[in-house]
Amino acid sequence: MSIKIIAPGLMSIIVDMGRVGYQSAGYCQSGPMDDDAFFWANYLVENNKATPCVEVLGEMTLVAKRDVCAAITGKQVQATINGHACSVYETLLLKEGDSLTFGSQTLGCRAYLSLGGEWNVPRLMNSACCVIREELGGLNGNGRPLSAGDNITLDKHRTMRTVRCLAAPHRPDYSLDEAISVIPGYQISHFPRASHRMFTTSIYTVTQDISRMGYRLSGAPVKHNISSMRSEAIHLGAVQIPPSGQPIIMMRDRQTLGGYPKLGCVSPIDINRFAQASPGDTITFAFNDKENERAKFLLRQQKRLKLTGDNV
Amino acid sequence: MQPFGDVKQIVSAGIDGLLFYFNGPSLDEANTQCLQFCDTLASAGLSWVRDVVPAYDSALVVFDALKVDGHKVYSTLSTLASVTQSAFEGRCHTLPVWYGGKDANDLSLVATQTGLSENDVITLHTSVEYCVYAVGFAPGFGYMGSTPEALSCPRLATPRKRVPQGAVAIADRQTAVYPSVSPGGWHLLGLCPLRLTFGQDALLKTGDKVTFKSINEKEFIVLNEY
Repeated sequence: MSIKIIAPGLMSIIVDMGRVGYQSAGYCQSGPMDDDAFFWANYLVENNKATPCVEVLGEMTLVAKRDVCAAITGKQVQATINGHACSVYETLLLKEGDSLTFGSQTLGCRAYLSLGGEWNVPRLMNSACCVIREELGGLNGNGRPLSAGDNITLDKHRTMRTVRCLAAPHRPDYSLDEAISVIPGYQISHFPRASHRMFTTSIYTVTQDISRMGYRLSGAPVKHNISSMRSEAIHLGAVQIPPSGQPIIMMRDRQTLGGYPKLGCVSPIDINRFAQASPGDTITFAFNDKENERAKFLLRQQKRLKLTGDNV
Repeated sequence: MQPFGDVKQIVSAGIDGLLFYFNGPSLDEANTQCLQFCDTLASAGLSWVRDVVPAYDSALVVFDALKVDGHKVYSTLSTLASVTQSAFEGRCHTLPVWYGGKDANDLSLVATQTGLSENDVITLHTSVEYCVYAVGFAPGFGYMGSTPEALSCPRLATPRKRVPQGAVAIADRQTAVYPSVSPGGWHLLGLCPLRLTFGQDALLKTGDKVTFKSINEKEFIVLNEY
């Protein structure tokens, strides 16, 4: 074994890049809520970018059962080794017996833990992602979240001579000051113009009702007169408008199909920043053209390439 | 983006998704067009296609935005659809049902709502061949239609917190079998003893045809796969 979990925090699950190609059978996409933090966590321990990480809500404590390298990323994360503050967004060289405690300072935000090596966890549909609702994936493949006493075993431990670090200016920007970009799509042409304006000029508050499936917001209701429609595929970040007019943003563990009208999708450039919002945070939205957002997406990829060499 | 062939409308779903809606004089035909399109797409083996999610009369195509943009996807798919004619054929299944089975018995409620006898409800439910229009909500959950008009009944006013595994249910003109325990707002008619998911595979796929067959409790126990 490599590490033993002493305290799992509020909710900790194993995630990787998710299940691709199985939505037609009803399996959700899953994957990390914050794929930026997930990406950098694996980079920092020289892992392949598709290696699993632990996604942690609350504060986790673990003990290294042998020498292992680790890294902590996420929004407002902090960490201690044996009670002493240590760096985040930097390789941590844990010695056998070291105790690592980490988490986000903000309740509701997620922290990511990477461990250098090959994870010995079951892959179901090419993914180790734990989906509690589907009783699928995770440490034993049955969709159970991590609990105290669980051991994570790595097959090939990475020994690193040099420490990798992601400098503060390159870390993900989680500020919610700027509007979240939404790419218009789906049924937007059936929404009255006044509703478009209502959606982009109002302030929405993140409610308590947020989960890996979706985030419910509250604010000015977005009106439409679409009485009924057939269920159709829901893409990541889809902005659903139920009869109440209060938007629901569909996240990684969303159900594959749904019948509520949608205004479009949150841009992949902003989905991580949005996913790390917590109850009470306020959000504004702006419509942005999909070519624009794709250009930003390609630029982000270029930036990653520059920072990581050929690791992308 | 201009419609082509049997596609009546195309809308964006983010930077890496396009949703195609299909034409057809009836839902059955639109669904067939949709599945032929998905089948053609699957056989073409395009490396940048990440996921294809059909439902009723629409299909979401998710692509790798690092490799292609929506215009490339559109031009490739519109060419493909005009030169290829897939003859998509779903499989046929007969699902046994213990009508009125344990913890899955709303027969009297359905009878009251429809004005039918409980036996008529069963007879009507087993009388038609259903088409699987979509698979979703939960792994292996097939939305099937259409039930006979006389059997149409609304969803429960308050959804149940726990619908048992294998429950056969109806809502509006649809019918389905719950592959696993879940909450649900449909009226329950009975229990199906067959497993609907096998690891990554699901018994029912979009485009399959399904008929139901009435069995008794003893047969149910013999056939029970759970």
